Amino acid sequence: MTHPYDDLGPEAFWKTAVAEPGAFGLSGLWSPKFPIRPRHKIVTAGSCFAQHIGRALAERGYGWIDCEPAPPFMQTEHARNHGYGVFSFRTGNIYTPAMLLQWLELAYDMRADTGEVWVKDGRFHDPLRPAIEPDGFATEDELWDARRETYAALRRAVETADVFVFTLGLTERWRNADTGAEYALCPGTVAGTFDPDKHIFINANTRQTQAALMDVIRLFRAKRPKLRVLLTVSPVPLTATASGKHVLTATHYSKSVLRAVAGMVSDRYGFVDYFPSYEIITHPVFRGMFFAPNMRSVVPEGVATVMKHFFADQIAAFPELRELRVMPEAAQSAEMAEEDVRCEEVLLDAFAR
Amino acid sequence: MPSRAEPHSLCIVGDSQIGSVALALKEGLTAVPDGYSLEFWGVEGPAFRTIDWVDGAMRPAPAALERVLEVNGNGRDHVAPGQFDTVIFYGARLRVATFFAQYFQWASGRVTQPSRSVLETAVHDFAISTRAYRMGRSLAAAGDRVFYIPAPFSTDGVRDLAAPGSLYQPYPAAFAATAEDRAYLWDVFEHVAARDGMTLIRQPEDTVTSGILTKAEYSCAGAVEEDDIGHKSPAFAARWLEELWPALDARARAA
Repeated sequence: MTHPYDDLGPEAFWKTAVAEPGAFGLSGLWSPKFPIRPRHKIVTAGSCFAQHIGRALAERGYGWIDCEPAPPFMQTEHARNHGYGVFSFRTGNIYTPAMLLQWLELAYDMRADTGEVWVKDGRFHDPLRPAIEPDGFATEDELWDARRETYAALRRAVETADVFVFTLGLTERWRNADTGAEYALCPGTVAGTFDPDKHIFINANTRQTQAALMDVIRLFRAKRPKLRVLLTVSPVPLTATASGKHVLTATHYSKSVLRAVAGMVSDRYGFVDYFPSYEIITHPVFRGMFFAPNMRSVVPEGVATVMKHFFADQIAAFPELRELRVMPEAAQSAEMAEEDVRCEEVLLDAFAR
Repeated sequence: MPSRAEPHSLCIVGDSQIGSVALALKEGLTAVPDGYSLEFWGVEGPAFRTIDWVDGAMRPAPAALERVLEVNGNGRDHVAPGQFDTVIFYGARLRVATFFAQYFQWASGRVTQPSRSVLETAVHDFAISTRAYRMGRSLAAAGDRVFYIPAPFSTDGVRDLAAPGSLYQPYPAAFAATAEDRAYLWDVFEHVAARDGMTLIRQPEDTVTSGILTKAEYSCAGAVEEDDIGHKSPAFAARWLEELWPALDARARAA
C-alpha cells in the first residue's frame, strides 16, 4: 500500500460514488450499525420529518409502536389533528434534544411540572404542545390528565422499544427564565403571552446540543439498557428565525449543528446510528428536486427516496433482511400527502409578515 | 317545500328492532301518548341497509320497497322532511355497544380519561358512519324533530359472549364497566346527537348488566334456541319507550 486511499472502495471517491452514478444511482449512503427487523419495536419522535419515517415503517409492516393510540373509531385525520398516531406518543413535534430531555425527565419524575398553562379564548393550552388539542382543553384538569397520559406513554415507549428513532429539527428554542421550562413554540404564537423579561431565546451550539442529546441517551439506556437509537436530522428548513440572521443562513447554522452533533454522538456509541435522510433531501446532487416550490416542504417522492435508501442499505448490510421484508412497493410513501404531516411550526407562518 | 305535518304525528323508523315496539303497543305494555298518531316505517336488517337519502328523502332500494310498504301499511314509499312532526329512529343500525366495548377496552389501558373534545370527536366519527344516523341528521337539518333510540346492548344469557372467538372476547374490560362509566359515554352520545339536531335516548340503566349487556329477562322469544342476542322482548321495548314518551312531550311543549 502506497497510501491510505489505495485500497478504498468506489464509495470513497466523489467521481465513482456521486458524479458517475448521479442522483438516482447513488447507493451505500448509509452503513447501518445494526439491523432493524420487522419484529423490532420502533418508536419515533422528533420534528416534522420524523412523522414520515414512522408512517413509512408502519406501511411496510415494520413494528412501529403507538404507545398512545387514539380512541376507537376516531377517523385518522381527526386523530392526527389531535396528535394521535403522529409519533409514538402524543407529544407533538419535539424539535430539540433539550425538549426531548425535558419530556423524558418529566415522565420519569426527574423534573417537576411547572404548572404553567396557557389560556386563550377561555380554553387551556399546554405550553409543551400548544396545538395538541386544536381548540384547547376545556379545563386545566383535562390538560394535566392528558399530560399524565403522555408521560405514561413515553415511559412505555422507552421501556419496550428496541429502536428509538429521533429526528433532530432545530437549535433555536424558547425557555422560561424563571422555571427553566422549554417550550415547543415561542409563547404568543399559537397561544400564551410573550413576555420579553421571562421568555428567553436560545440558539443552541454544538456543545449545548450534544450535552442534551447525551443526557437523553444516558436516560434511555438507564431505563432500557438494550435500546438502540437511530438519529436523523430533519431536512426541513426553519419557518422563521429569531436569531437576527437571515432565515436561510440561520437554517444552515441550525442544521449544521444538528448534523455535526448527530455524527459526533453516533460515532461515539455502537448503539447509536445516524441515517442520512438529511443529506438525501438537501444535497446539491439532488438539485433541490425533493422540495416543494416553497423550497421548504418535502414532497412525497423525497420521502420515498429516503425510505428506499433506508431499506436498501439495511439489506446491503444485513442480507438476511431481504427474506424478512414485508415491504410493499415503495410507491406507498409517494401517496403520503405533505399536508397530512402535522407541523406545528408551520403555524408560525400565520405570523410571518 | 312539503307542507308541515300535524304537530303530533310520529313515525318510528327502524330495522327488525321495531317489531318489539309494535308488539309492545299491541300487547298494551305501553301506549302512545294521547293526541299522537303513529306510523311505522322500515324493514329488517339486510333490506334496511338499502335505505338511503335520495332526492331529499329516505327511500328503500326497489328490491326492499315491497317489505317497507308491508311494514308501513299506509303505502308510504319514502319519508321526507315535513311528513311527520317527529321521526323516531329505533335500533336502526346504530350499534352503540360496539363503541362502548371497544372504548372501555381502550380506556382500560390508560391512566386518565381522554379530553371531552377527543371523545366527542370519536363518538361523532362512529355515529356518522351509520347511514341511518346521517339520514336522521338530514331530517333534523330540514326541521323535523328527530329522536334516536340506538340498537340495544346484546342480551346476556344467550351464549357466552366472552368466550374465545366470541363477539366481546377482545374487550374483556367492557364487562367491568360501571353505571358511571356508561353514563359518561351516554352523555357524550347525547351531546353529539344534540349537536346534530337529534335527541338520543340512552338505554335504561335498569335493563343493563355485566358492563355492556342487556339483562337476560329482556331476551326475545326463543332467543336461546335461535341464538339471538340482538332482538329483545316487547317488555324491553316498552321500557325504553317509557323513556321516550316524556321526552317527546317535553319537546312538544317546547315546540
